Amino acid sequence: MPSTPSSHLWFQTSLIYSSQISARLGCQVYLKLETLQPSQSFKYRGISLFAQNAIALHGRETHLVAASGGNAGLAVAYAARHLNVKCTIFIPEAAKSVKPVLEREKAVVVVGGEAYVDALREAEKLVASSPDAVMVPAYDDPLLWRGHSTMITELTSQLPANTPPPSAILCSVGGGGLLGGLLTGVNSLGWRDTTVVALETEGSNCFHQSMLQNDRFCAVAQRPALPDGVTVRSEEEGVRLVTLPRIMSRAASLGASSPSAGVVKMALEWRNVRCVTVRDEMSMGAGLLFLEEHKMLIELACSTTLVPAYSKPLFDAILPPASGQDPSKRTVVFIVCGGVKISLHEIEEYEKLVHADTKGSEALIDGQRWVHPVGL
Amino acid sequence: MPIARRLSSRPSTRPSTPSQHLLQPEVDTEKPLWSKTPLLRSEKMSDRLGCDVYLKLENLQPPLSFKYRGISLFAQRALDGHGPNVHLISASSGNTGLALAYSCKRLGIKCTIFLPEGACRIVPLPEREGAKVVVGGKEYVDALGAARKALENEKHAVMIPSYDDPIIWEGHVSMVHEIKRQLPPGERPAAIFCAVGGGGLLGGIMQGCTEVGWPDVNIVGCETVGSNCFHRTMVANSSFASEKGKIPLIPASLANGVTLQKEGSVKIASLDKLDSRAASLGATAPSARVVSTILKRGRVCCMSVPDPLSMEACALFAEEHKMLVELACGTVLVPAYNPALYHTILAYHPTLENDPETRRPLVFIVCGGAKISVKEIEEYDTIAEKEARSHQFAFIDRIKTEW
Repeated sequence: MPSTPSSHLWFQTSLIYSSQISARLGCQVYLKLETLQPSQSFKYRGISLFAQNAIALHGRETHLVAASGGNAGLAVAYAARHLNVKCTIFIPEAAKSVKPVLEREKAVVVVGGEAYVDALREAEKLVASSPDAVMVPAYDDPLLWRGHSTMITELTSQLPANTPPPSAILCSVGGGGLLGGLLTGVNSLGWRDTTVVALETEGSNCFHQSMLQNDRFCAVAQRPALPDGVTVRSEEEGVRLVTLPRIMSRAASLGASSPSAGVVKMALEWRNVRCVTVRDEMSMGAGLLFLEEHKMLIELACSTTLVPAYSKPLFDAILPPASGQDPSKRTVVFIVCGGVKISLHEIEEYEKLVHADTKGSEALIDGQRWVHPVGL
Repeated sequence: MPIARRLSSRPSTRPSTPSQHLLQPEVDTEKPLWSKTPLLRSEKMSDRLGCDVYLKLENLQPPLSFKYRGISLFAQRALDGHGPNVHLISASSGNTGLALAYSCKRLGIKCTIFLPEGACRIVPLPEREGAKVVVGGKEYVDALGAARKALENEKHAVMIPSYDDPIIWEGHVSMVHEIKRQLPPGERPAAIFCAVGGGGLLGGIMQGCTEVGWPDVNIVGCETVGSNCFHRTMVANSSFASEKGKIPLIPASLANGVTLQKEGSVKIASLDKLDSRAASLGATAPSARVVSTILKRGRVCCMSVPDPLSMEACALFAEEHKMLVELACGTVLVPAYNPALYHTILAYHPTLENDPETRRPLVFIVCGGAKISVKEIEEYDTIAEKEARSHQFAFIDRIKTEW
């Protein structure tokens, strides 16, 4: 069905109070359920906005093109279907299993090579050769961030009246699209005291590593040495970004080798940002506990955000209460970003891996190693 | 759609209740405690059934089920009527008790839940919400006996009814008002599918449809073959689903294993035993009040399905929508996963518009429930893989259908 430019396609998602996580962390914890979007992830916000905009500019013959390993492609397919326009998604070989899911949404799917970069190249080729084709970026575009930011502006009418802005909002970071939306949102609302916590997994933390390479976030003296194979470059306005040689995390949806320069810049300007890197097993563990408590399946990229929700010591290390502040009065929002890359089959697998995991809880917080205190 | 707003400036006229030491969200005790839940359009179900299918996600209520509506309203009224020393009591093996615990915590009032031994698994949940839990006796009837005793001995004790109470219905009615506001403007459903245990939810939906001006909206009451006291009751009443001038038949499977009793002008069927794993549906007899009202209203369809189909629906819902719901809830979703069954229901209720041009939407009440874990869903998946295909049958009103 056609939609007018004034009506958006995304869903105003529920913000639910989590009794269990609040009790565990000793503060008021809310969950923003982006799992409820039509394409089951927050991506639908920015991507549907981008799609509507593209059609407004190029007309009804617009052909939406994207390169994606999953959730972004699905969001594009859903948007194309609802806006009644053509859509082609290029996926890497590794993401072949997502092909039928996309085709069910009437998208044309092309397996464009082994890695994401190959799929992206094929997508760019199509866009270059076809006048109606418009590339939908996966994460690096201010229009995407504007769409995603609506998840934050919705909070103003969903949090209880008379509560101050949240003390902290936590989200996962892949290439930085979601974070870009979060930062755009808190900026537009003027929530200067809100701490933004950006979580990634070990082996896929290009954002955390990039932030550490920038003086505004981390002094040179404290800066850790670059791991093997990781390179750093300077972008415009002095923003430094790293490139990871490969992704070594199972949280596939977080798998970006380099973050968006624009998002890193926004994060550096916001200042009140915490970078956290956790191990895959901790993310799996959080996902399993979330499933038990809230009866919802979330993919690894999403459960990464919830790792601090299941470890009070880690939460306290990331967000120590300010002196003179009653910690129980703090409001904290976790963005449950969603994603379709989870099934009962994976849950069974994660259960075994978590059970076999002998390493204790440890994380990287702003470049510093944190280890779970013994005896707690 | 936003979670219920609160009035920020109106002063509360209720005496302030003592705050709990347990952490809880800021609560305005004069506004409804329940959440306005999403009405989610399921793309996959819509494609499968050929019309717009909406899911009312009551599994997103704080205690994970729709029961929070009626129960929290009852608790608020009890507080209004008896004051802050009121003590709410329940004998419930599950979601009723949990909904009560959540309500009492937020209202700052005392709560005791009596459970039979077999229900132990759900115990930690109400206790975390500050309820006192007393476990004793093997069956529900023992827990009920203990609850009644407590009721007699205490001045301010009030028993929570499980489903057969107008205040409980009144809370559930709110669901229909929300659905009306949430559907695209002017649209009304062809049918609302809901699970039926004792009939509390059904009663609320029916009254809700009356209040919002939807007398022609069909209600499909869904049960399992081993726990379908409502279905059996309806077919035992000759005015239900009968053709003029013909004596209505009751298939043997629906007639056997029940005891019929007359209550007022209606016959009520009591099941000799419950034989379904959908424990939350486990009522041996439905509410007479609901039955007589619905017989007068009409536009109701009774559907009973075998457990393997409910199990399959739970497993498929987990894969498609990434949410775990109890078996009782999966039961409602069986038509959404079996288009042939849905089309048979359509055929027997042609008022569910079949014309693609005017096809009205369907609403499924995803009632939720806390008694479900991923282990159980995995078990259901395994059983369904083996047994669902050989159990492709259902009872619709007075007929048995297979596909």
